[in-house]
Amino acid sequence: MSAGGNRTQTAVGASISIAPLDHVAGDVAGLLGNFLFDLLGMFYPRQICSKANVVVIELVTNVMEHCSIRDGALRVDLKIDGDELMITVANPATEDEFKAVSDRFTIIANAEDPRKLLADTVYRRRIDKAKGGLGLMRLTAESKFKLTAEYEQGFLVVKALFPMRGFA
Amino acid sequence: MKVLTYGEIMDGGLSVFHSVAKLDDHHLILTFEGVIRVDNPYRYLHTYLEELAKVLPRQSVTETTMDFVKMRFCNSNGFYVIMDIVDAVYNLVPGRVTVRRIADDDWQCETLPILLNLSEEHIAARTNFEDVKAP
Repeated sequence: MSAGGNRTQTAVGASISIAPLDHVAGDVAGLLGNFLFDLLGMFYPRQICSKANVVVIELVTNVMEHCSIRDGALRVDLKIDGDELMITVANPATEDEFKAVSDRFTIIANAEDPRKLLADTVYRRRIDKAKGGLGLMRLTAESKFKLTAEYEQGFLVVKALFPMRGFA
Repeated sequence: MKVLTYGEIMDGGLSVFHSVAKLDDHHLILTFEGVIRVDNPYRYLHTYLEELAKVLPRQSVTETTMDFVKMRFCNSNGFYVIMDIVDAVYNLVPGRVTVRRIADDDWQCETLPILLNLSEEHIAARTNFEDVKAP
């Protein structure tokens, strides 16, 4: 093992694809999140590994709970280096599904105080235990990710970006 | 130390989360260990919540520690059940509440205070945090 160099500048990339979604029978979100947590733990501080873990679990859970095109593919891509952590999760979606997600992203992206948005939403929805969007809100409020959603060739593509300033 | 009650989440035949309520003299200790990632945690923890509602009012408690240090992850599906457990403590026993958490953990430092409802003055006034290094 090399003792030289700055380990928190290590470039790591991973791409995982699973198709069809319908064949998934277990906790795929947890498996992928924990795998990436352990892999990044070789190079990066625990706090960064936890961010990757949380974003993969929340975004993949969203896919497994809401994706209606079950014969399509789930794609998870991770890229990290000294500058940024970028995680992309893609799944097949109808234009209507993309529109619904996109509206939610707009609300989250426009929030002046993401933490207050998360808190207000949790308290408001607690009565009927409604979920819808809490996972996305926590990624901006808690983990400080910048989220974007795009529609590319029939796929909903969600990108979560965390600038590594102060960590690398 | 007397165990008052406990709750557990099983996933794929394995225990993935458990919470135990213990009494050490007049000190109530609630531990939270593992991960909450299942779709419907109430399916596993509703009995625990019912038991807490029954046993806590019968105890003589002067202080409480809620220990989250070994709770590595809680996805958004688990937010409400954590709120219900901590509510049981704040509503059913008196005294100060110490919350043990990991110092540099995003979910424990950013979201957990929301779930504790620290925006309520009477809860904030009873609560202090003990930040520890990750185990």
